[in-house]
Amino acid sequence: MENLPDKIMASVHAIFSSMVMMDIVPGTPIQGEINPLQSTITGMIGLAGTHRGMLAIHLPEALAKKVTGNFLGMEVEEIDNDVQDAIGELANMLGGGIKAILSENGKDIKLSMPSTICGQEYRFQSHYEGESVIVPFAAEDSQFLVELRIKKEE
Amino acid sequence: MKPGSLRTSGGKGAPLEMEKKVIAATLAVFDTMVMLKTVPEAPLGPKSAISCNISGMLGLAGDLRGMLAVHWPRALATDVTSRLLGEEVEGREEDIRDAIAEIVNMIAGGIKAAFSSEGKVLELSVPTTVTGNSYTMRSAWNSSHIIIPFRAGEECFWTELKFLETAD
Repeated sequence: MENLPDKIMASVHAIFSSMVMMDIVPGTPIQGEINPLQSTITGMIGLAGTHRGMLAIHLPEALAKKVTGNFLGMEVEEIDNDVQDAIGELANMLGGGIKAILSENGKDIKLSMPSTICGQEYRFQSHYEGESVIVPFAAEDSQFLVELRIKKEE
Repeated sequence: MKPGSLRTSGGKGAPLEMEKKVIAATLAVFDTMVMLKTVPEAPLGPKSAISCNISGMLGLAGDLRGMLAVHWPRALATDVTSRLLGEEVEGREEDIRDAIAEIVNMIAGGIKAAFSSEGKVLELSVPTTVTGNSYTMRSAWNSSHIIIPFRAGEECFWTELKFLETAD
């Protein structure tokens, strides 16, 4: 697929500038291992249809609280249900953006329900052939990762 | 390794029909692929603590939007992988993760087939595994939620489905 990292960057930028109101700077796509994730919250969503895949956003807990605070317009002090739901919704919106980019009319790719995972240390791994891209973004003196794994179905 | 704890939260009860599909799909995979006798127990409430340290997850889309997960304690995940591959896999973490991913994929395939026989469309995303000693999982939205424990010998694993019917 052409320019997958550029497409991810465009989609992430659109959501962060309009919904999260936070300046972000994309970095060079990461080749290789990001596990284990530590004190992180992951929002993930599955893609199905003409393309099968998975999109995930991994945020350090402190940054996840800031993102949720901006998103909801309130102060966030701990990783609670609000934070988990906000990060799940972020994955849902990113999935919507990627779906619009990859799909001719937006109908031939469908999104699953978003889900969040958080913990002190865990490993997150997709098990599927296909193209895989991880793009880091700098934000608020921290960094988050957006991971996309996708394959066009024959 | 000491089992970690996983807390699931959110959601409401689900229709009995869906519970039956989840149980049938899980048992079919165990009977035909894992060759291990397993017995479903009474479904858990939506806010339950589960002792596990590996989960296989897979997103569902189409006539419903959902997330299917199977949660395992490490010892049972290792045993099931050994049975699936026909050889001892103790300590082979990558093989265990691959097998747990394949099992959730096969269970999702069974649920998809059950939908298909009712004229409904269910499409599958790709399997993902989460491993660790203490993690929390949550699906936002006020979705329907099923967690069914399955007993295999002395141990349990859990099949979980969260879903929302869509008009899309």
